[in-house]
Amino acid sequence: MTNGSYWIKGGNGKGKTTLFKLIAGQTPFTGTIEIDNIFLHKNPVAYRSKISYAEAEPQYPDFLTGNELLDYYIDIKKADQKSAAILTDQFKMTAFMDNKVSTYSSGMLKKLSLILAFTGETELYIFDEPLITIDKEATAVLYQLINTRKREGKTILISSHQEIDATTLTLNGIFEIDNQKVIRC
Amino acid sequence: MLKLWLKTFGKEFYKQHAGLLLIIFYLLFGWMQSGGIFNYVLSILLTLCSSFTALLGFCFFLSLYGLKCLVFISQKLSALDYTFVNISCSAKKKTQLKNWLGLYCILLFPALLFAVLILITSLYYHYYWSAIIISSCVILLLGGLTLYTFRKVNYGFKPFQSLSANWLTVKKPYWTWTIHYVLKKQILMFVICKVLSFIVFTGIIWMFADSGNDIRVYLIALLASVIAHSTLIAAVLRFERSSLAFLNSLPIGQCAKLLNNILFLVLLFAPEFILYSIKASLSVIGAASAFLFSIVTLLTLRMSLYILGDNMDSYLKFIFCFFLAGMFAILTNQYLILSLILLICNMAYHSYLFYRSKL
Repeated sequence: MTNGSYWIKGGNGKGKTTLFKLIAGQTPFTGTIEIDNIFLHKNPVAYRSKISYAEAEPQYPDFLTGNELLDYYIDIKKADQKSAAILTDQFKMTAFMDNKVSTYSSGMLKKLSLILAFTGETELYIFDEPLITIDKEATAVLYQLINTRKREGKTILISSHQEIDATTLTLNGIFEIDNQKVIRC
Repeated sequence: MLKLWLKTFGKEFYKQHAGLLLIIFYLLFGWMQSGGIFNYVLSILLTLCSSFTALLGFCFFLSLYGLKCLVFISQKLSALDYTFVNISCSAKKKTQLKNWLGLYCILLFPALLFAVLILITSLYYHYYWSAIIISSCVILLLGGLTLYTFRKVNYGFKPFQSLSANWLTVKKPYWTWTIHYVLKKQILMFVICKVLSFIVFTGIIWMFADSGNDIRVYLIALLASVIAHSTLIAAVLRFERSSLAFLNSLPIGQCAKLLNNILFLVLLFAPEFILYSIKASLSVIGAASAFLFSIVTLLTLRMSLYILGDNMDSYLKFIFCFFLAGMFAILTNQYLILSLILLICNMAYHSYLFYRSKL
């Protein structure tokens, strides 16, 4: 897969989330997964430093605040504090970042997971159902950020039930999961 | 209505706490021979009836257990799959109260059974004050729990004044997350584990008081204290698997993960180790080997849950076998070798899990 943005289609239970969890290194598997000749099984830390994953239904410890999670991501991904602040501003989350995650609505939780995924420099961005629960403004920000990362030569994988707006995001390929196989459409 | 609540709340409660209850049962009665159980139980009951402090201690345990049940019910009531309970609000007040009382009686059954035995013993041996104290405690506890739950279900729409102090917010670095989880979400289990741990530790020290300053006695006490933490370790691992799963896609090295786990275990076991250091006047090497032994055994309990797949029945069996193996190693003075073997095995298994995307 070359750089660009790709849409993974497939109905419920087809295995989109499982596929993304495998690529993100969250689920045990047999076989090999690699990015730029870095294998997940052989060099998990180097591999994971090349990916960013935003889950469909993000779960975080509810006693933490958004900022505590963000600080942790900045620290782990050696990211820039300023760009993280811009991201929270873009998603209109700055006012809520000192609140505990337990007080967040599902949309806010989703926005937080997107902010965390965009924090730091990685090669591959994986977004599992990024369009669910977020409002129109946040969707526009998401498309804009994906386009920026695309221009920077990154790869973006998106799974979505909703149709992706072709006028705001041009896709380099569409894949479908059928009978446990990923097929190019 | 009660039938349905017993099938849901009751079944779930005993399923979740079977391990803890069985461990307490083992620790209290497991070491007794079947012939001596009656005299043993009677002596405990008489001690509780005759000693005001011991009885207050039992009342404290009873309240703690009641609080545990209350927290469990409250958590379930706020869960989405338990919203059906709100339908009970349409029943008469008396029916609702009766059902909640019935549910709490079932949840508190093991402790209530013991309280009834204390009551009978105190009446039989003419300790009337003890009878009054224990019956008042049971009535107040059951009444309080029933009324509180009734109010919570029926008047949950009334705004609740939070007592949290926002000015007291402290930043939580990554290595403190599991500690925060234990102190905020599992505080009751934590207190129960610590009380149990303290009791078994001092109990074993008293039991072998005539053995002098033998390190093996302290190590057996530490081993029992470690095992008292088994359910808490399982709860922490469950939390890590659900709420900290997102860490698995972050570039964190296996050494950092292992050290973080060990740091948590050290902090968790620090009170016992301080107690141990005060009680035992051992050499630096003795203290270091005891520290290594206790941390490695805690780590083994944690790692065993990965192999056993969070199966609590198998976990309990493993704990029993592990306790016997640990006792044997201590009695034959091979505890240091056992610690080193377990440390190597744990590190190797941790590495295997890490490279297989299981950590």
